[in-house]
This record gives sequence, structure tokens and C-alpha cells, in this order.
Amino acid sequence: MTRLAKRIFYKELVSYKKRSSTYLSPIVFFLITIALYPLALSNDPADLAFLAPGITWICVLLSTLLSIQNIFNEDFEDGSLDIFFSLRVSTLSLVIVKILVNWIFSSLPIIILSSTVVFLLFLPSEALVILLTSLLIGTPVISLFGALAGALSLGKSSILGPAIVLPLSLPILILGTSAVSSFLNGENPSFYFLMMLAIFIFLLPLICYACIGALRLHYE
Amino acid sequence: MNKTFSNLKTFYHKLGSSPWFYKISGITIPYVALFSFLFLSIGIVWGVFFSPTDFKQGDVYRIIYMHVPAASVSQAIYYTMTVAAVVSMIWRMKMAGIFIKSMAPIGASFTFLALISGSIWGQPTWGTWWIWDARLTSTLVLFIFYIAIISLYSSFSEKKSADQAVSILTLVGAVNLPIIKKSVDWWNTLHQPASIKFTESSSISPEMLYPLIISIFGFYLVVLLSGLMAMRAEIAKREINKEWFKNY
Amino acid sequence: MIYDFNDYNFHVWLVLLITVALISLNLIVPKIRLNKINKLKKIDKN
Repeated sequence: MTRLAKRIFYKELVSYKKRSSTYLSPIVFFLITIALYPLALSNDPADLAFLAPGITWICVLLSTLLSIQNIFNEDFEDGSLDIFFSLRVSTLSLVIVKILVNWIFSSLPIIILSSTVVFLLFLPSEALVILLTSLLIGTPVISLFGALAGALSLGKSSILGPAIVLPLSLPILILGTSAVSSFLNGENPSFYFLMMLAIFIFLLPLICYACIGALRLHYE
Repeated sequence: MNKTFSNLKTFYHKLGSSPWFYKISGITIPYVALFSFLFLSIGIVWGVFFSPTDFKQGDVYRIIYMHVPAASVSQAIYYTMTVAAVVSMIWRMKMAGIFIKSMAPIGASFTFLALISGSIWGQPTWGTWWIWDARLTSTLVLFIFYIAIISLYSSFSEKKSADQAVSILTLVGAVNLPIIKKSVDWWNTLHQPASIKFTESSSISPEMLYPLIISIFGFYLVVLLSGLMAMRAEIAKREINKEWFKNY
Repeated sequence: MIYDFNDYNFHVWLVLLITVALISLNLIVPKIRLNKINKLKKIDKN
């Protein structure tokens, strides 16, 4: 199982490297949306600093939406998913590795990029660590929901994905932004991190099996 | 004990058969229609026209006789859909899929009613149509869930996979709804607007309570009625070419 | 009693109207769907 997982992992890395648009478009989208907020709201540093955690979280959430169609679609179209489901191999490792690689390519660059909000949105620099930690813990959950939505809406209209992911990710959005704003108010944010971690651990097996069930639908 | 269990088992198997359900629902629908009309009209007419005026809110509180039943029904429908989703995923029961498909629009419409009646109620009492309060937000999320389920269903052309996909989404939603509710509740305590406070009147006089209970009962009955009718229509649509339906 | 039509009663009437409309919509739509299919069945039989 681990050897298989490793092979899928390398294969996924290579295929993501070939299709640079799949991981470049979320980055571009993220930067543009971050730039839209000061233009639309205000360029006053005090206002922006107050709004920064929320803006960053919303932008991260929206830009990860761009990549959920890519998680399974490519393999679905070229038929390799078909082979996987007809062979008697662990589909669980396939799903987990796919979610992991998707997170590495679509969420991790955005998390790293989001450290620029210190300059762009005047987030107090001591809160940056908290923001990054909340993103690191929170985005895997969003990737899980994204994988489920991608699996359910394989080959379907792309509006379905956001309609499934966004309502499910509300708790993560609330906890993630509260972590940063509570830190800015001088409180200890570890409660929020633990809550997000608990949600992730609770949902990981559930969503993975739901994904397998959803993928199987297309081969019945 | 063993007898009741086997009876239950046969009942379950019968429930899974669409011809049986089609026949039985055809017989029961008139009675359910009669009782739901009775309870609904008594509850609402009593509540809206004959119950005493609230001394704090005035007559506008009478919206409670539509709002509370709708809110209660909208959540109950999701619970029943969750049970059906489990049944559909484990035993692949065809009727469970038909149930989810038929109940989702009904749930959506009652959630919509709860939202809109709440907002019409809120306008004179709090002075705004909408506030980002915990209960309103989680009802809105419930409404979005219903819409997502309906749109996911309609995106599949194959009924069988549509049933399974919708069951998966319903289950994931059911697991997440408590988390969403808790987090929204808790978010609301952080951002509570100071001017608007919700202090529920803990004591409601019996003259106000009785019509409310009757009205809630009537709403459940009317949901049952429209659910039965929608399921009948769905069965007919799916099995139009089956022999039993042609000879019915 | 709310027979006199003042400002607050308007809200109650509005909600009552929407309630009745939604409930009857929920009942009429499946009725129409079933009738349509039954009509098709009859055509099929003849």
C-alpha cells in the first residue's frame, strides 16, 4: 500500500508540474482578489488591518475553489480512474494522495503568498504567524470538501463545486478568522487551532470514504 | 418479541417495494389530506384570529403560528432525509432515493418560509429585515444545503447514481450541520450587536400555546401529505414502463 | 382580533399569504406531475 501510494504521489507530482496552469491560476486569482479589497473598501491602513484576517481567509477559500475540478477530472477523462476502480487496489490511498498533492499545489503556495498581507493589508506582523498557522490547519479541511465536491460533480457543471464546498467550510472560516482576531485582541488563539484540528481529524476518514463512494458512482 | 421484529422486517421490505407504496399511499392520502387540512386550518385560524394579543409585540406576534412550525418542519425533514440516506447507502433501497428526491424541494420550501416569515417578523419588532443572528444564519445554511442537494440531483441523468450521490451529500451535510450550527452560535456570541437582544419569553400563555401546537401538528401532517404525493409522482415517473404500473 | 387592517397586521397577512401559497404549491405540483403521467399512460393503453 505504501509503495503504491508513493508511486501515485510521484505520478501526481509530475502531472501537476506539466500542467502549470492548474497551480498558477489560484495564485494569480489570490493576488488579484487581495488587491481588489483596498480598491473597493478603503486604503486606510487602520481599516485594512482590522479586516485583513477575514479578507485573507475569504481569498484563500475562493482561490482553492478554482482547483477542485482538477483533483479527479484529468484522471477521469483519460481513463486512469477507470483502471484504478476496476483493479483490486486500495482506492483509499489514491484518494488520500490525490487530496494531499492537490493541497500541496493549490493551497500551500497561497498560504506562503498570504504572508504578503503584512504589507498589502497592513496586518500587524506579530499576527502573521497566527494567520499562517490557522491557514495551515484550516486549508486541509477545505481540500477535503473540495475533493468531495470534485468527486460528486465529475464531468458536471462547475457551479456545483462551490455550492457544496462553501457552506461546508463555514466553521473553518469562522474559526480561522477568529483565531487571528482573538490574538489581535490579546487572547490565546490555541483553542481555535485545536478545534480546527479536531474537525480535520474527525472528517478525514469520513470524507475520504465519501469520496470513494462518489467516484464509484461513475463506474457503475 | 420475535414476532414484532419479523413484522417490522416485512414492513421494511414492503416499504422498499414501489407498487406496494403506490397502492397504500393512494389509499391513505385522502385521510392525511383531511386531517392536515383540519389541523392546519384550526391552528392557523385560531392563532391568527382568536388568540389574545401579545401585550409587548402587539398583533404582529401572530406570525409565530406560521414561523415556528415552518422552522421546526424544515429541520425535521433534513433528519428524515439523513435516515433515508443511510438506508439508501447501506441497503441500496430504491424508495429511500425516491424519498430524498421528493423531500428535498419540500424541505427547501419550508426553510424558505421560515426564513422569509422570520424576516417579515423581524422588520416591525427589531426594525430590520435581516440580522446576522445565529439562528438565521444556520437556517440560511440549511436552505443552501437543500438547494445544493436539489441541484446535485438534477445534474445526474442516471437516476441510480443520482440517488447515491445525493445520499452521500445528505450524509456529509448531516454530519457537518451540527458543527456549522455550533460554530455559528459561538461566532454570534463574539459579534453580538449590542442594540438587539434575544430574550425569549419563557412563559407563553396556554391560549397562545394550544393553537401553536395544533399548527405545528398541522404542518407536519401537510409535509407528510405533500411528501406522499411527491413520492407517488416520482414513482410513476420512474416506473412508467413497468408492467404493474401499466395495469394499475 | 386582527380584522382591522393596520400596519402590523399587514405583516401577518403577508406571512399567511406566503404560507398558503407555498403549501398549495407543494401540493399542486406533484398532483400535476402525476396527472400528466397518468394521461400518458392512458394514451399508451389505447
